[in-house]
Amino acid sequence: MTPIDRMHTEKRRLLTTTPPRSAKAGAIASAAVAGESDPAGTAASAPVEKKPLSKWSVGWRVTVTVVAFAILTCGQFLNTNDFFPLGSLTQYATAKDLNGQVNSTCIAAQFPGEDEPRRLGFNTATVGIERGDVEAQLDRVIANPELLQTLADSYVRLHPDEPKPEAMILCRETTQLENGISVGEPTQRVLATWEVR
Amino acid sequence: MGVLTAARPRNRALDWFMPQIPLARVAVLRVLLYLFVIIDVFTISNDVIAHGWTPELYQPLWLARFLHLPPVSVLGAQILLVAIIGFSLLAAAGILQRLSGWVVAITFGAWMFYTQGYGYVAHDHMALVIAVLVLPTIGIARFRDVGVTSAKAGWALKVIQISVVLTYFYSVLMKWVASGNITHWANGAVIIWALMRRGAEWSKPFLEMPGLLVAAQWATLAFEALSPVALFVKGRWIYFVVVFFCVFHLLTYLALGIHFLPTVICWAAFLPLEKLVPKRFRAVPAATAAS
Repeated sequence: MTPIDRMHTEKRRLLTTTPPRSAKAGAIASAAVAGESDPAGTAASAPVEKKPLSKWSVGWRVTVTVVAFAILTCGQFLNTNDFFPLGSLTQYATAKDLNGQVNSTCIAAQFPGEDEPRRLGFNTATVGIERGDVEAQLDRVIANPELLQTLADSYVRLHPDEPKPEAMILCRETTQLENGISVGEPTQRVLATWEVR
Repeated sequence: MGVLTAARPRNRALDWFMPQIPLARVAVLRVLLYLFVIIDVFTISNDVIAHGWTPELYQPLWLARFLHLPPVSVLGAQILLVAIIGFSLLAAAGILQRLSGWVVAITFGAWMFYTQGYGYVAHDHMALVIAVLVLPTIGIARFRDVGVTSAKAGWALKVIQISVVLTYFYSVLMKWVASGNITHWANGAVIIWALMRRGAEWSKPFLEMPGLLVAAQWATLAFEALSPVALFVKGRWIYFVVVFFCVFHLLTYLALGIHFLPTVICWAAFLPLEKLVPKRFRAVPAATAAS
């Protein structure tokens, strides 16, 4: 066999037999990660694909993704959080006027023997609920001040050694802005009061 | 089972949507996400047991109403907490993977409805809740599977990535919808409002510089609108994108106490986490692999 014959024989062998594992690995890995972010090319050592997904497997994944995407998109345009976890992304989304007012809701309690109501932390550790939760249903709480009873009950449960409050006061602190800078002292207004039972 | 498919014709859109990724990446991501779920229920969303004391303030969300989820009781919240911790540990360790994953999806899902269902709905948990829902669909994934790739895993991680990006991108859309005109938002007093209500002491001097804060609002809008870039960048650029967003969240945390950690942790889904698996734990690539 001449050297040229040997070369042709070797070429035929390489074309017709199963390539060594390492060669196959490189080829498939590069196909596998095409279009995938792989900063260090680690998938070059990822030679084995699981079997291709069935049409059903691909189908339900595409359908679920499209439906979820549609719900999330509707959530934005309808401006509703109701579809959580696919609701509107409303945090800090509403424009605020540079010459407007900054409101902050507060909670205070009147304790026996004290002249003035005392401001309480508006959080779960103090009254069992966060300020934001109450602000999100503020109209409801103002219209139904008996809901403040549940804050008083939480306060008593969370502070068994403290005196029980006689009244709960839902208040609002307002700061006026002018060109984005606060002017004057913040004002306070009582939004609702409730005699604790 | 383990069919080699180098020459198989492929659809480019599906390749992008369901890329083949190493299962070891899933195994590492699961450790991060499920351990974070435990941290989450003890810190960020730790108000559920307290909500057991305030059932009158329950405002169930649509899915909670559809499933007739009643207001949570203190005992119910405690049972949920124990289940979340136990099964998250199993899922992070890769024990009873499908069962533990689905149980976490259900219990953590219920926990989320009980933390968000009392008035205020935060949107920092969107990607994490979706991650916990899609991870169990991948099936078995082991640390040694650095050499085994899966399109199921590719889909799940792509969905997490899309959720992360939409958390930013759709917040721009929402600002547009909620404000009527996006320039009203960018030229307005949102950061001033946030700093006044919950700003840290060190950040208060910025209240004297409204022009700077308006510029920061425009910058925020710009990078939120550009966030989909993360889905398409190649090579080492993804590290830059991930670090950029993490630094942004670090700054908002230092200034306002808003950390967005449930979204931040999901940025890990963009990274080649399989590199964290020590070489001695990696399986030698085999010609076939169990499905």
